Amino acid sequence: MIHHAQLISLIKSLTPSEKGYLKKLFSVHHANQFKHDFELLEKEILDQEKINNTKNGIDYSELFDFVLNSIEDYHKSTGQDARSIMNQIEILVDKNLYQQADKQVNRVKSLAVKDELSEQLIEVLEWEMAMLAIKAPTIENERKFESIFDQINETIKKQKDTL
Amino acid sequence: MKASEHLFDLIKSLSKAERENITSLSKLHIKGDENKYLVLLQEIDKQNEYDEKAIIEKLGYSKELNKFAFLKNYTYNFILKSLEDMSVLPLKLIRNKISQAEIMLGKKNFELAALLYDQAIEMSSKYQAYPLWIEALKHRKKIDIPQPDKNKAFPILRILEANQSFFNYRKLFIMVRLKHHQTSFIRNIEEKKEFKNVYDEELMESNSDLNFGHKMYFYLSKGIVYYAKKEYDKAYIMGNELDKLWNNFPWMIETRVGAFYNTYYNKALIELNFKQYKASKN
Repeated sequence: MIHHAQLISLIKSLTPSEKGYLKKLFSVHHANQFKHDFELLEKEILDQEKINNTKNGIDYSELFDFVLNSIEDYHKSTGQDARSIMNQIEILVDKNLYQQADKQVNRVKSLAVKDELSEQLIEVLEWEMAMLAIKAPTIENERKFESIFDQINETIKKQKDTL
Repeated sequence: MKASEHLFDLIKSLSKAERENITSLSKLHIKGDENKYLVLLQEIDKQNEYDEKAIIEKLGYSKELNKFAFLKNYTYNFILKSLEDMSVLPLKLIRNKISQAEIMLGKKNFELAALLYDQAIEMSSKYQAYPLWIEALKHRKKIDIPQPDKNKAFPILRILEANQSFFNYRKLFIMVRLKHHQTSFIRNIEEKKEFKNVYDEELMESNSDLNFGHKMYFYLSKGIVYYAKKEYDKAYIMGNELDKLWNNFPWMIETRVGAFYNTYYNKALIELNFKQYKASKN
């Protein structure tokens, strides 16, 4: 459950451009109730004394998630990019589009290796393995499995060493 | 399949709701009267087989092939992004929480960052998503706000070890799937190091809540081996063990990680073959 104070804290941390983008999204998604609630909360913030603490029993989870999901597009880091592509791999596999998923696996892998994102590397190696498992059981693929397992073990060892 | 057909296949795989979402989101990017990638999407969608030449001609890109390639790439990524926005797959939701927590950290809003990491930790533990769990815990530790007690049950090292041993089961399963048709491989497999190793680890893990994947791949591997050895009654027991496991963790099917699909497939196969075996005996 997300409380009134938590949503107020989130809205206060938004930049003007994030708010502008958010308002565009309210209209694109016909999210009129969200738009209405958001504007009310903005007014409350402008006049600090009027912040209505009696609203603390209400669950603001949906608006909170909408705001957070919307501003995610506004911020880019390698970690976020890798996570986003990982989401796309899951969607593509769900649609049986393995070649497309394979391409995204390679993208995440190079991001994860380059920026030493060990958790993302483990995740993507597992996907690589899952996709390899769909292919014919050849000796070459068996070698590829071995190589993936070696990479996984090496990465987990590094993770343990950095603890 | 050629790389140029990737966009065609992606478009053809879209559901009605996904198409509607793409159309809604494209309104954010309209320049002039129409949206170029929406036009491309609609043109491709009209085709039964991908004919790039016809589309290039129709949309007037014959002399600007680079621009067409750029548009195609943009359209492909835009569709993927809008599918991602719509997706409610649990691992995607956990990744979102981690990314959003990262943004809140950037804004120095530590309370919300902590809240989002805590939500990610709780979800990761439910779905036993080890790498996401570790990532969220690592960052959460750096925030000077007490963690909820339920999220402290497993330290990072314990999760890392569970993740490492999980891959031994994963490896065993892959090995069994690759070679179960080889009589020489199957004959004494239970005496082999790989099988004994995971069995010991399985016992070590058996009293924790961290071993869904371990058990799943173990029962699957054994089921396949017994089936290959024509020990159908034993294979059936493994099928039942899998069934019990799924009944204890019914939400795990939502995680959809690669071979999780194969789980049901293999279980069904084991059961079907057992039925045939039983019928042949009667």
